[in-house]
Amino acid sequence: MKNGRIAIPSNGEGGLKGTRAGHFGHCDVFTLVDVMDGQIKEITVLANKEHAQGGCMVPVNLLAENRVNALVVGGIGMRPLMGFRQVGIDVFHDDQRTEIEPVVMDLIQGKLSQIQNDQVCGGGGGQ
Amino acid sequence: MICVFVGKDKTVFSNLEQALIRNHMEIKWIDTGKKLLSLLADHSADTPVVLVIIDGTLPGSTARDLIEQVVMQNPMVNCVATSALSPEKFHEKFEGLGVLMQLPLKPDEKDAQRLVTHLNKIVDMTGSPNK
Repeated sequence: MKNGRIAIPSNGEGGLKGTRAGHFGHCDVFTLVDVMDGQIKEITVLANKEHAQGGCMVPVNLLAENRVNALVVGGIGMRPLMGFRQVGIDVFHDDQRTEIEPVVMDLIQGKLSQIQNDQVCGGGGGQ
Repeated sequence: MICVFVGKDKTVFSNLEQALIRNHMEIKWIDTGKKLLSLLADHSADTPVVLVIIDGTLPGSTARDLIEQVVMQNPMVNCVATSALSPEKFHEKFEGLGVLMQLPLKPDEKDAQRLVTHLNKIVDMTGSPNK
């Protein structure tokens, strides 16, 4: 990723040295990383909104309104994944690391893959 | 805002229908999943379908499969389904599809009010029925 804004669901106060939240819908904040010419330009933190059953589109709209281009999750359901795609946010996958910084660096360097439909969370099928 | 009922027996949803009409929603009835998907594909963004209510006993396709197809086609549409499953089994079966809530096979007035309250909350949280 050369240019754009990355969102990382984060615990507590977030930030590049913070840790990732396991469930994006329930995260405390989103750490937003602005990238320009392949370099980190600015780090900001965006508070998440209340989570409610069936409220998958709340974070979708929140991140779209804040001009996010890419999101990195450990897991995601089919509905929010389709929602992010509909608003033009690419969803990338890393379910191994809890630290924010190495995941951000890997995304900038093109080392993360976008999540596929068959990787969504869910039993009978997929949050 | 439009609500679409998917089912063959309208009497099952009479309480829900009345509650939604009182909530100023326009009601449409569809009797197959295929017709629902066609309606959603044709519908203008100016008059969004905000809610789809599926009779879980509808023959032909399961409510889960139909909701998955709706989500793939238009994830902004909220869905609910009737089901006799336990809440735990329902959650397991529908996980990830962002279903607003499980309804009993014949929803009563309390279920209707619960749905209207929750729908209004979700619409308010997302900022607009178009989203």
